Amino acid sequence: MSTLELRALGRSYGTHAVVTGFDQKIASGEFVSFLGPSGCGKTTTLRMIAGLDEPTSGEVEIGGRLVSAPARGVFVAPEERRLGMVFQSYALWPHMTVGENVGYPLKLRGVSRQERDAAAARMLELVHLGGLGGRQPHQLSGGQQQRVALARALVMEPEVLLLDEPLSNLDAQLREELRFEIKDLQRRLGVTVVFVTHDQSEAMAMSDRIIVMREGRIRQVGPPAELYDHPADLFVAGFLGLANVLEGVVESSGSESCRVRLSGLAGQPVVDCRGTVATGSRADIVIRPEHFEVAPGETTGLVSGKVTRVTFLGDRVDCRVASGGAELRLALAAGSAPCLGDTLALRARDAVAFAQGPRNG
Amino acid sequence: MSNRMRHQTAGIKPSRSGWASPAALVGAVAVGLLLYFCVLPLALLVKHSFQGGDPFASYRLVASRAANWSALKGTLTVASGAAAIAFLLGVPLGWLVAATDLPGARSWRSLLALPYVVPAYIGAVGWTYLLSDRAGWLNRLLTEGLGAPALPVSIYSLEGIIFIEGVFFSPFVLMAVAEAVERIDPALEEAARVSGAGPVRVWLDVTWPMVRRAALGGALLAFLGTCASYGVPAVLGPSARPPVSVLTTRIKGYIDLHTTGGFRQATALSAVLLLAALAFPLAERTSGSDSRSAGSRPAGRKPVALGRWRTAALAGVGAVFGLTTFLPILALLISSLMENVGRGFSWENLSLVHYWVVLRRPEAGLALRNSFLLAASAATLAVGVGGTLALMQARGGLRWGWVLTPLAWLPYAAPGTVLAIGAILAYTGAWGINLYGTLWMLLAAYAAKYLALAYRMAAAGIEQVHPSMEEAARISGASRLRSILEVLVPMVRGHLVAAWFLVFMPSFGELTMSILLFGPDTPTLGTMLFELQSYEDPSAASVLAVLIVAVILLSNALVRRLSGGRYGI
Repeated sequence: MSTLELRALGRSYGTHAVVTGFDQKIASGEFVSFLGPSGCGKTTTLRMIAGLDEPTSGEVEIGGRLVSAPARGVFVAPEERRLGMVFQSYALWPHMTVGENVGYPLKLRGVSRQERDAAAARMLELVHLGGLGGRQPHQLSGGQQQRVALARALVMEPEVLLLDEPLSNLDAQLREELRFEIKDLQRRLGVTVVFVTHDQSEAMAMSDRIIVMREGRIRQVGPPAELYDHPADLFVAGFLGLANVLEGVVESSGSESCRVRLSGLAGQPVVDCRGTVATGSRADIVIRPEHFEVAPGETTGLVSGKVTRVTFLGDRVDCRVASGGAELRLALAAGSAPCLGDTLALRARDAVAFAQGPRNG
Repeated sequence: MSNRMRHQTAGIKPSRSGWASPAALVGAVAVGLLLYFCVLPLALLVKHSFQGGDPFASYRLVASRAANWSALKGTLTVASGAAAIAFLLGVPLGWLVAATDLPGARSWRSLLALPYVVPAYIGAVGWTYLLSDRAGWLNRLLTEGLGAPALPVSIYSLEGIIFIEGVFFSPFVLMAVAEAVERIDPALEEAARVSGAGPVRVWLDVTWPMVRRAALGGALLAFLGTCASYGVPAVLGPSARPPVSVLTTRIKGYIDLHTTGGFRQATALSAVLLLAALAFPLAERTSGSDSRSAGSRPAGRKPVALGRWRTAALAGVGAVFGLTTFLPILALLISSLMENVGRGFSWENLSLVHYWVVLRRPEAGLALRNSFLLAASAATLAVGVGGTLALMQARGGLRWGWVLTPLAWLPYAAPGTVLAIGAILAYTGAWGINLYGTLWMLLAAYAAKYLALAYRMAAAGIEQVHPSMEEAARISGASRLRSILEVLVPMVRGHLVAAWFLVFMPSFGELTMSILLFGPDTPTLGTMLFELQSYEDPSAASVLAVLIVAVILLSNALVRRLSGGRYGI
């Protein structure tokens, strides 16, 4: 197992930069996700690690071995990087059986047929597909195909496992199941994993650290909880989890906290926020739906609004509340569901303020 | 360990190592062959036509001969007439087989498209047994049998040539129309019905406007194909009264003079004929044949019920097939089996004696061997080069990859006669290579001519394979070449086999180029058939014709079987 180091990695096509200055060290055995909307450069970065795409600047080092460094004329072909990779489309070869698919990396390394078959069988067992080695890939379900792709990627015990949106073609239930399985496999084998996804819940559920990307650049890096609680900017706040983004004027500020009067809302909406913003300036305020609470009886510092939609989701209730010109989204405990048309007084338990500068959201 | 130390031990490789490899070598060879076989002959031809002190001397000379103008007129007349017939046959038939509940529509579609794979000159030979002036069986049936007043319809005539060309190019329209009909979203026609249009109205207002483009494109292909055609006017034209001359036969006439001046005028006429190639891309695109390849057809189309017209339609389709395609092939078969043509039909008169006689001739054995060898080699070469070029364009990430397609199509768009003249210029002495009178000469011409068919089929196959299939192999440890050979090639095997036969079939009975390029030791079935037909022995000619048709139909059946009916006709 091994570390992965990306130094000022960049990829551009002509004048169009797809990835810029990607700098990150990934520890041995770590599970790291590249998270971002489509076109943010996450897949390109993954492909540069794999050697399927060549960087135009920067360096890639896998396990202390320099594999890409255009400035120094270094480029190690993908087949010599000893990686495992699972593709979004699974890329199972239809002209080989499941067992042959899994055994192919070993075949390329001159492993005898007997050993290959044994290893393939062992890997299939590991991904809960024992005994299916003789099947054709098209005879398997999507989830099973995904497991075969995983077995193939792991069969030669790679230093680093690359996963390119491997769950996006599966249905919700299967996705959840495979999340857990991949995570479990990774823990058991101790392999370093880079996981590319645009699904924030996948990234949060599986990763030790998440690298949020946008327009070819890293926006924030950290463990899931840290990104959720302390987003570096509005984009990260909005991309990880749901967020109400509001505007307000800072009434007072201290170190790491401030008090903001929200504009455009009914009531007397003053909230205490985390974040350092100068008094008197305008700020963007992020409030998570679950941080609103209904506060009957109180009068000051409350947002008042009318319930316009109530959606029962089992464990909780998703409410829309119209207040002033804005619509707020609330996640309330299932027991305390308001009725359509109720007028609510709301308090925010937690909020984060961002200085309004040149717009970054 | 310092950084520098480390990457030195890792082995520094030059960047772009992906192409500095055996794969790059294969690519370079393919591009080299493309330039040498496809581009050079035509480039030399154009250059040669402008040679001399006065660059336009050859053109002036050619323009000064009335015979050349009448050949041009002949070409345009025959091509327009043939395009019209192809259009009139192809549109209704294409619609019937694709859109209606005509009984056996799928089989009819294959049968009606048969002339697509059978060389037209073989059809012409077949028709000579049926409609030659007095001896033609149909003519005798009409006059003697039915006592009709003497009306000898002669196939040796301008009308005869137009009719046969039209019939043999009608599949271009038929297939274009059938596929255009299948591409129509049934909801569009249903919406018109719901809006209150009757079936005829729907056809006129919705269906026809959506297939018109394809039908006209198909007719344009028929026009261009007829302009380039040599066999039919060569078989029928000289004996017509007045004789019919077209550009291709005229060019052959100039070559037969075996003089420098004759050759120069042949190149000038060829350059004129080459102009037809300019319209070819337009015809390909509008007819939709450039996108023909992917096998999947949209399902869920409900056939139009013909109702009480069903029987009439079936009879019509059967009559067209019988009169245009079945009859001449049957005539060939019968004449090849009749011991003495003069004695008429009887069981005693049937024998295999002609087969025995023809096949015992050493020349026939040689021609058979040559045609098999040439067609198989041309198919293999075209699939190898075409597959490599298609791969380079799809996966090479080459900035100039787009030029490969037009270059590969150039020889296919060029009339065979023109390509053959170019081949003579390119391979008889240029750069010290003289292939004249060898099989290599014919191989070069065949492979260049039909490269585009293999290229297109291979490209269609590669298009269906996602690049991640090969990337997964690379990650697994396979080199670029190995990922292609072990993953991509097996996945497109069906397309490659189909591509091989698509080149094999037209090469096997090729006449237009062969007649200009063959030598005493390199007769092909086509050239031998043509000579037997013209000069000595029509019965022997029909034996060879039957052999050619049989091999082609067998190949076609094989393609259909191997591809599960997706390719072939």
